Amino acid sequence: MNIDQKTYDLINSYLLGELQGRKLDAFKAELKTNKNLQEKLELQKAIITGIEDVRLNELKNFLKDNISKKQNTKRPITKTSLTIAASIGLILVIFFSIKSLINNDNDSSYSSDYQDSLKYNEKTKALENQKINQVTTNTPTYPENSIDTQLLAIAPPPNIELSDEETTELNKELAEYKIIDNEIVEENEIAEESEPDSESYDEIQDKLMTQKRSIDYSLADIQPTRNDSLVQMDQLIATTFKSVRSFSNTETNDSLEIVSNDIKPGSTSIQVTKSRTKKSKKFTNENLTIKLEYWNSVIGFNGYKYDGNTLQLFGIAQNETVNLLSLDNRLYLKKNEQIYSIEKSSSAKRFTAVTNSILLKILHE
Amino acid sequence: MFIIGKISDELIVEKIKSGDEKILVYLYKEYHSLIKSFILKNGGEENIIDDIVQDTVISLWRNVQKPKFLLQAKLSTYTLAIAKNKWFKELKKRNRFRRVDVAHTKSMIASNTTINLDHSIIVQIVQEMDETCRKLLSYFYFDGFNNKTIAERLNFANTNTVKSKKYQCFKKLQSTVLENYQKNDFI
Repeated sequence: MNIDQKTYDLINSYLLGELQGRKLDAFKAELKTNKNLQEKLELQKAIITGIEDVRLNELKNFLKDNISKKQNTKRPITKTSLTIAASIGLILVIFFSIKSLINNDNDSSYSSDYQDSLKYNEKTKALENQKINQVTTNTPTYPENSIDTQLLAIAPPPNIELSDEETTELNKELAEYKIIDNEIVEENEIAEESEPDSESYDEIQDKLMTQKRSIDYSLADIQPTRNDSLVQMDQLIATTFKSVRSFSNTETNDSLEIVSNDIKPGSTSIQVTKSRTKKSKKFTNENLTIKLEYWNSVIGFNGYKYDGNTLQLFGIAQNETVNLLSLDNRLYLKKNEQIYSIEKSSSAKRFTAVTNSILLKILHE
Repeated sequence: MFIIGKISDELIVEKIKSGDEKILVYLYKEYHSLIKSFILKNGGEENIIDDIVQDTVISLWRNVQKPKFLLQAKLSTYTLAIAKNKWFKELKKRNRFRRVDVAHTKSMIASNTTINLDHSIIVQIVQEMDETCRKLLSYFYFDGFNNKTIAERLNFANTNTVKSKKYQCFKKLQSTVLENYQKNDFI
């Protein structure tokens, strides 16, 4: 079924609606009688339909592709954001990986130098035991060679081997640190400190007590630990027992009357007190003894905790002269001519200075 | 798509007539919401909208190429009219419209008795044919480009080349189709 170009063009014109008038009538007449033309027409129609379908699909695919591309390019910000986020994540991962590697290096160097720190600890162990023995006496003296247990938890820097001389120097520095700390207490800066959360503080105290008892000041039992874990605990510096000077309430009142009667114009209060002391014995030693514990607070807390038997002091060095006084079953702490009232409480409290002048006069005697 | 901003109806028509296919994407985007709104208000679903818009835009493309085409209304109105016809045709297909077009059915029967060709085979043959021939025949039969436009798009020397090449391509295609059918496939 070969088709010549003239027939092809004629059929095309008919199918496209371009035949008009006589030409169209002639073609229709021929089509009715000529079977060959009918076949050619049908075949050409079928092929044209095929061509149209292919082209339709082609254009549809073109549209789909371009619209999907547009939709994809509509979200460059989202893609960029994701890329940036992924980059940041990657950088963080790399950073922490390197950091952990560095830490591992430090740990390994720490481990390699841990023998040095053990030697250091063994040397200081004896000093520490000596310190504890000294502070359990009634006359607490701060030994120059004693070392703060909190600082002991910090391992010596890697690649530094501490000699005996260096150890002594370090202890001297620590002693100086203590003196500076005492000066701060003397300046009565206690009230300016922020009050810590008493509950959390108690928890820390309980944990610390339990740990201290289990450790029993044996530095040899200290396991190699990271510096930041032990540094954050309060340290018990020393324990001592202190007798309390008790005053009689009634006698004091009487004495007050006497004092008022004895006051003369121009006389000083000290003179009055002296004369009163001579006239009446207002305080007696009733052999009341309280266990006194000196604590070093990591948070710089200055205060106390008193449960009736034990008085825990924070922010006061053990070499400071501290006296305990009792008046009307109330306990007072005297330090550097400053008197603080001590209340029985299950939680830690700050030092409250006594401001009542009459009470101060009595207690200062 | 490289068209930014809104372009005039005249320019759209001009671009279609010059065979710039990129305008199809612009038309799709431009009239998508208009057609979508119409289909959803007339019982259509979301999943059919893209197909209708696509068919509408391609029909607009083809209609503009016809020599008789004359834009007497806004292009959006004309496009919406095409979309309406497409949607009603779709509804007919779904038998929502119960009317039976007897004449159309009779003509379909008559045509089926005349020729019995597997349409998918012809489509496959067209897809596999030489690209230049396929494009030439597509541009002529589907897009309705005139010989001048075809010559420009396919880098032919002149319109006479288009005419002769078109006949040669069709003849070759017809021979390939006939090779795949027996004589008794026809009347």
